[in-house]
Amino acid sequence: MPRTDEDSDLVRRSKTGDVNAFGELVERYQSLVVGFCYRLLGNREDAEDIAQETFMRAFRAIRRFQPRAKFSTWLLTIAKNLSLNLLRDERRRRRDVHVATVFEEEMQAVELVPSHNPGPDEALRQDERAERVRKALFELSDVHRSIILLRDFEGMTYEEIAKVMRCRKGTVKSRLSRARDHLKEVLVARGDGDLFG
Amino acid sequence: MRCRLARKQLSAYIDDELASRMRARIENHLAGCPECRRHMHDLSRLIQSVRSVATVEPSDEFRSATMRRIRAGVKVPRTVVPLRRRWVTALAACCAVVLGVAGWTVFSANRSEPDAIDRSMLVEVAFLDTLLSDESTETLSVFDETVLLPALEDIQYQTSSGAVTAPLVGQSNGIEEMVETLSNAERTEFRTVLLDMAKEG
Repeated sequence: MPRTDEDSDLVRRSKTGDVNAFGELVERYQSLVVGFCYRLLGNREDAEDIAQETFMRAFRAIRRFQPRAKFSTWLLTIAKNLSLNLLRDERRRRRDVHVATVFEEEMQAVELVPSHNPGPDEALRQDERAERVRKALFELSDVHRSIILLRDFEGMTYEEIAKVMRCRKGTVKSRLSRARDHLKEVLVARGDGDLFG
Repeated sequence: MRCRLARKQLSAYIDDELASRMRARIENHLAGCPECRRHMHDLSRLIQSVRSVATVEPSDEFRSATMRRIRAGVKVPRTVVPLRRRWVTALAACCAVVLGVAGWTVFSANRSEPDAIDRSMLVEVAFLDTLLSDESTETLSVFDETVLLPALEDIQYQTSSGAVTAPLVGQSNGIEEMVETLSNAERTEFRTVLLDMAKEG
């Protein structure tokens, strides 16, 4: 787990152009950034591409990083913006194709990594339920999906999410509430209401 | 408290993000409302379901590939001067078509030159392309709150429909708020004007 108390020294050294120090930050946060991008984008290849771009941009802009923010929050801000830009570009390219269908097809090819090691039957059941939720998440708007991911996967506080989303804390609260309501509606519409009801 | 209001707060209640007073009101309401209790139960289960979604770990070569790209970026000097000129031209032209130019004047006269990486960064941000497009008003400020906002926050822009953006001097989210005041059509129009100016530069 990343330790923020050690980040500041690595960030300070990175600001002087110390690539090795920045490499330690990459090591520390690569799982966070790749995982976040994967959940937002739906496939590993794009997730790693965007995560790489995130670290590159972070390194180039690190002299402007303000220590008052958490480094991880700053990284996820960049990752979120790059991911949403990619999704927007994808949509432009595939204007006539429903985006959820595209992601569903891509996700079928992705290897899943369960969070723990339950028995085979239980694992299958959990994977199947998780997959249904994941498909539903891709029917939400990018903003709603982002905000759910930041809260429910990354465990960010509303204050931290507000920094990433560049909005007020009150906006986070209302958007997250709406996003979860919408997710419920999507699950019901897909016949997956058993996942929460 | 009415159910409708209570349900709007349930998400933040579950996340423990409510002030103590509102939290107490919600708890009081839940104690007497089985429908809202059911709603909260559903919401809690939904959140658990979302947390169960799997993720991936970075591939073995991710870190080394990333560091190779970063080192390559450090070693190769960028030809930033022309890009910088284009950028300055775009900003200057932008200011020419808007009403307030004071901020830009101050910016041009007083700002110290960014270093080479910063300058190429300004262009890479693709300000003109991303800022004015849907859903991307956040992008700019991630990269350059300190450089771009002071230059742009004084800008007013008059669209062909006659709408004039509000003056933004002194507002912390100046450029984002300015863009948010524009309709999609106006964004497109503003973007086109800026891009034309940039091309001419």
